[in-house]
Amino acid sequence: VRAARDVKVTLGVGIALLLAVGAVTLTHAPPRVVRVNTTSRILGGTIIGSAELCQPNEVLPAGVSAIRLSAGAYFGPRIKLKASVGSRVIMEGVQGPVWTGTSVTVPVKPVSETTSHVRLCIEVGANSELVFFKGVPAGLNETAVYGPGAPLGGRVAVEDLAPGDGSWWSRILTVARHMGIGHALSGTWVVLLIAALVAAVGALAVGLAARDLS
Amino acid sequence: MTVRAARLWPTALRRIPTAAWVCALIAFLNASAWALIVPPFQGKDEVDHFAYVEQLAESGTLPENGNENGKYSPQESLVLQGLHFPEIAHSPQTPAISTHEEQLILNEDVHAGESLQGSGEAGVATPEPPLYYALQVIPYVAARGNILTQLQLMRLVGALFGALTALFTFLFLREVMPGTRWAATLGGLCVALQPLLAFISGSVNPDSMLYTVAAAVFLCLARAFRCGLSRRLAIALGVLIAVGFMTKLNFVGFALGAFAGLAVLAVREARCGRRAMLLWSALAAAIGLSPGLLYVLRNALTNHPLFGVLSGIPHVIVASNLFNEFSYTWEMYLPRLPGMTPYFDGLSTFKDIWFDRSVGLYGFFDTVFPVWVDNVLLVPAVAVALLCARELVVRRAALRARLPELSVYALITLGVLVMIGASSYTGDAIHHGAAFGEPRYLLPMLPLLGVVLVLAARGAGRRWAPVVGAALVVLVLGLDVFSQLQVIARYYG
Repeated sequence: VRAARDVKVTLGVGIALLLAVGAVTLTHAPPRVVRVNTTSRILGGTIIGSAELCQPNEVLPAGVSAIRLSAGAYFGPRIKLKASVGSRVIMEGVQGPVWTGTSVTVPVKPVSETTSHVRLCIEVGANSELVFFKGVPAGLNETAVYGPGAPLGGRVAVEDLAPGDGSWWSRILTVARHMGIGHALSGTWVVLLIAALVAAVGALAVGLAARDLS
Repeated sequence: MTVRAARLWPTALRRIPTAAWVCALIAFLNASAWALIVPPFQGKDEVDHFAYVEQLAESGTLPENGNENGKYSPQESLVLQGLHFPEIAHSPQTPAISTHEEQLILNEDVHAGESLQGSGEAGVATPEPPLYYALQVIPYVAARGNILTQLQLMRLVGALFGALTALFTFLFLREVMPGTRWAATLGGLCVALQPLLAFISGSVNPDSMLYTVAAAVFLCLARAFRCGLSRRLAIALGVLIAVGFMTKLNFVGFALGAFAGLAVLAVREARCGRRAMLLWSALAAAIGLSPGLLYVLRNALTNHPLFGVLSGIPHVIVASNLFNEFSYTWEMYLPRLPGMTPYFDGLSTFKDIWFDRSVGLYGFFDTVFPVWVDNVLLVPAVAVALLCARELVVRRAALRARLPELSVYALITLGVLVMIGASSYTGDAIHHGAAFGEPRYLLPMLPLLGVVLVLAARGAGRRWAPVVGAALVVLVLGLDVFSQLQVIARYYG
């Protein structure tokens, strides 16, 4: 009897915790792009092994919580970002290794005011695979420079992200409408079907665990 | 089917406990939810797997014209364009199509009636054996005329495989841990809720069938070690191994351990004086090897490379490379030892690749959790490992008695790990492509994950075992739901 009660309490507390964490998570706002330095992805530079890549004349808007670089890799290396004005470092951020895709997003500590003439340095951690950087070709004064002063031939595309205006909660209907587009089953009702499936999975799992584990 | 066999089937099905069916139902519903959440063709390599089925259904031929840079059919290409597939795949910053106008264009593309004939190859799926794709021809034909509906039905076939995987895992656990009443339920539930299994099963991917076959092989081996290898069990094992070979190339690594299992069973029977039983092991091996032999024979007769894509491997694995290959495979899972060439600089492969990506790697490699989530989940993972180790130490006498059986499971695991490492070495270190660092390749060992979780619960002691078991179920359920939310945020946020 005690075991049955313990299992039920564990399941109850666990589900309540999941719901609470989910509810809190949805109070966060999805990130939005507040600035891009270029929409072009013509430049294609590659780096292998650890290196530092710096580009001048960036603008760092206030409140930026993450910076997205146009960089591609399969086992992406650790990326450390450092923004400085003169010798003063105004912002830093790190993204751990093994990101995959055509961009890497580095979380950073927001700055309180928008700053111009920022030198943005990208420290690429040790790696054994090629990392591709994309962006726009630029002249000698504007180009990113890596290693001991070798010009990359252009600027890496950078997107500054900040928390959006509304929380996930306030965007639920928008997201639901979006989920109803581009599928075999189209329409917002699909979200209700998915929710019913997930609820059934949860109910069956909890019910079976409560019955058998005790 | 004989009348006797027809009578045996319902009896065998009736013996399966309700809990096993519930686990299967959970896995099916879970994979179905994933099938609805992930946008069309955003399952891993789904475009290529679909192209393979299309080639089989439309031309009645395998995609083996050797044209590696071939194109998908005009109809598939058009729909991919309508879905903005090239812009979305691998690009976590780009969401799925979202406007009414894009939906209208997609509708036009779907009903454009373009040719369904591709250039005769199917991308990364080209060298794979045809059984899974042949089965997928059924939903393909059933929904002919609408690629999106075809894909959705094909995904549901994958969900059925997910259900079977959970069912076989349940039965396997009941077989290997008959003394623990709740073991099968706990392991079956955790596997049914496993998000990576649900994601793969909810997309068009032969891995879903491979997991089912692997779980069934584990079940048959466990039964053979407990009850002896009967003729019926030998045939079942042989057929499963044959089906595995016809499902996915990766099965080669798994099969080595399965054959070792047959050898161990044969030796055991011989030691017990049941030499006649040796025949059943040989029979299982012969049935298991038959598709491979037929494939070689067919290649010999049609002037294709004798072992298909595997024919190139001996050229890569030369004696001078053996140490490098060993180093690469070792480093893929474990810290580099002195003297080894560094292949994964800056990475702690066990944590960064295998653990973090097991926590979540969805879509086209482009949907993961933030690193802090992986780090938080290290805590329960370490707790599970410690509790499991404790239970193994406490029950070491019982383990010793089952050493042959456990060695076979270990060999199967080793075979899969080495197969991944060897394939990755060829693709990554030799041909400078991508490494095969995807936890989905490890999922054929899902039944063993079930064992680990049950051992961890038992390791907590009689008083706390049910509580730990319930906590594990909630944990995996939570990981599943938050993985779905992560995918929703990535594609629709």
